[in-house]
Amino acid sequence: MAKIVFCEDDPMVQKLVRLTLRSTPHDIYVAGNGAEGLVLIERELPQVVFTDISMPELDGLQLIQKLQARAHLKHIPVVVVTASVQPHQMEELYRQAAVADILAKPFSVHELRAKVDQFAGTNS
Amino acid sequence: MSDGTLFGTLCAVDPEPQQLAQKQADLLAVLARIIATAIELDNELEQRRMVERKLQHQLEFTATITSSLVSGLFAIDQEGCLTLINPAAQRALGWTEAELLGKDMHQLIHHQHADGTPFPKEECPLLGVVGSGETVRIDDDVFTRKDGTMFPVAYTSQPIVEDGQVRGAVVSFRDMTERKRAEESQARLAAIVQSSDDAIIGKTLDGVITSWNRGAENLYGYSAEEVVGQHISILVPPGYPNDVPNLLEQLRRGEHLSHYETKRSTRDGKVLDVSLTLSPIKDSRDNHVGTSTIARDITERKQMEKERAQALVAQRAANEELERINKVRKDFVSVVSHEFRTALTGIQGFSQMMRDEDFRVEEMTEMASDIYEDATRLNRMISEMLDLDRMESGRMTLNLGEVDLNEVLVRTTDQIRSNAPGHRIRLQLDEGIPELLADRDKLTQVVTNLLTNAVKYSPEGGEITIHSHLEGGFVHVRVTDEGIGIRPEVLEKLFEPYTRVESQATRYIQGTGLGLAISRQIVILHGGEIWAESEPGAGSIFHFTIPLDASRPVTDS
Repeated sequence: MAKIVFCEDDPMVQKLVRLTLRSTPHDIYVAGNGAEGLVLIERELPQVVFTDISMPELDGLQLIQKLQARAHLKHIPVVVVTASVQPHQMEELYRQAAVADILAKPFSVHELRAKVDQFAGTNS
Repeated sequence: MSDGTLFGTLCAVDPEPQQLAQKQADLLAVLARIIATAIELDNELEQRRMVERKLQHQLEFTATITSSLVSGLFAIDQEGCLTLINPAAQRALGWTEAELLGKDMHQLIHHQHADGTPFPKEECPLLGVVGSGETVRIDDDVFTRKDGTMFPVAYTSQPIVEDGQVRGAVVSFRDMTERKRAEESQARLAAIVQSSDDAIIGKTLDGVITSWNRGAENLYGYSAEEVVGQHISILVPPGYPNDVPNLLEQLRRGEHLSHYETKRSTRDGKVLDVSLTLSPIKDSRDNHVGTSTIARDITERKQMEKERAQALVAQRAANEELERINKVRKDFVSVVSHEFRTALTGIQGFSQMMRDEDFRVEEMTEMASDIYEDATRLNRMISEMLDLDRMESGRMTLNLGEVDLNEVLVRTTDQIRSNAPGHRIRLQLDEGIPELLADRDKLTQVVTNLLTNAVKYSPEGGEITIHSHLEGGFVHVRVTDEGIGIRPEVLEKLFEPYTRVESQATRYIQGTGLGLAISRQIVILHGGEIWAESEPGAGSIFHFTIPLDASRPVTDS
């Protein structure tokens, strides 16, 4: 069982994430933006962070920078979940050390669960 | 003496005084008369020799003069035959004196006109002098040389009068070949200057116009008669700096100016751009005696240069605008596709789970309504994009009907309330508002947009007030929120399409960002106005007015 922080500002996607991951053994913490996400990450020290890019307050990329700047958080893998994926943006994202993977919206239920399993692990 | 005057005394001296006999005395008297006569004769001879010497001197003097004359000179008798000719005339005519003496000069040198037609002797002005006794001066005639060639001459024929009778004529002439040639070349030059399209103007060193060609007449509109004698500064247009004194000063220093560009005015006051080439004019001794100006009209060229520069600036601005629009469109496409994918995420995810997994009925119902909401969201965005397209191509039209605006406000509020239960929405409606003639659906769209924005940009629990009242021929609606407010630079362009995608700070916000631009178009089509006031952090107030009858233009009372 692992802790997962999911940053997503769209209420419908938030709902979908909760419902999709309800059947997994993990604790899902959902944040409405990067700032809220950072508070949750600091508090919960999750095994993996999923984050949207386009969010108010603190967007996904800014959140990644903040994590990188903190020694005790920089090792946490970050999966970027975004609806605006274009090839050049993918490369740009991958170049960021902390971007472990990318999940493109719209994602299927299976894709999301597979990514969670991959990074949270069923045995951790 | 022979005239009876006493000239002297004849004395006879004897060794011894004696009385002379009568015979002796008579003899002495005869001797005295002989001596007197001899002396008289000798005196007369002496006088004659003096006259002859004088005459000789005069003849030599005349000969010297005639032979040293540069002009040709010859004399003819009453019949026109040569009696005298000087060396200059012999050289000019190619004949020697010996060949000509006693010959009919008209037949030899004056028998044809310049065009080769015969010149009858009866009409010869040289000989005419002999008849009239009047001096004749001819400037443009020809003489023929011994070799048959002709040359232009100017001559004077003067009668020779002796004892009141005309005995002949003296003709002095000059070969005009060189002068003719000089005149011709000058005339050719003058013709070139005169016919030049460029204005060529002569001036004194002080700037007084001395010559003015046709090009100058054409360029400036003044005729030569009008301006010769005037000062060149009459060409300086009023209101422009007078550069003439400075130019004249440079010319007086002997400087030459090429392609000096300035403004000059025509007779009608039209201001021209001209290119001037200014040169000092020097005489043969290198003195500055005047100045010349060649002026060319470059107004058209200047205008073209200006237009080209303007076109370039406009082109650059258009390119920049096009670039901006292209970027905005691209950004817009990426924002819209982001929004579509986000909405599709819910639709796809929920429907997938409903299909593949087991849920309770309530959960299924909620998922179905979530799908419905996302689908509605998609539909709204598509509508907005279609509206934008209609707006941009000017095809947005109103479907007018009777509308109770307060009812629209109430219904829209109810709908928004159900979606945003956390916000408090208050209605302050003017019950005296009559039914409007307007497009109900489009007004609903405007109100929905303003309320959705108010909710979107306000914190949970924030108060939103909707206010309506009648104001002259208009209904004035206000939507007030206590939200994050709008920065002045955003406020400025709030109602323009794509404003939101241009600002990184507002890109995360859901939707196409076209709502306000569409709302403005709808309000304008009704004949109303829409505007906003806001302070960052202190909320915003959105206003719009709608005339009671959108089918008639209403003047604001």
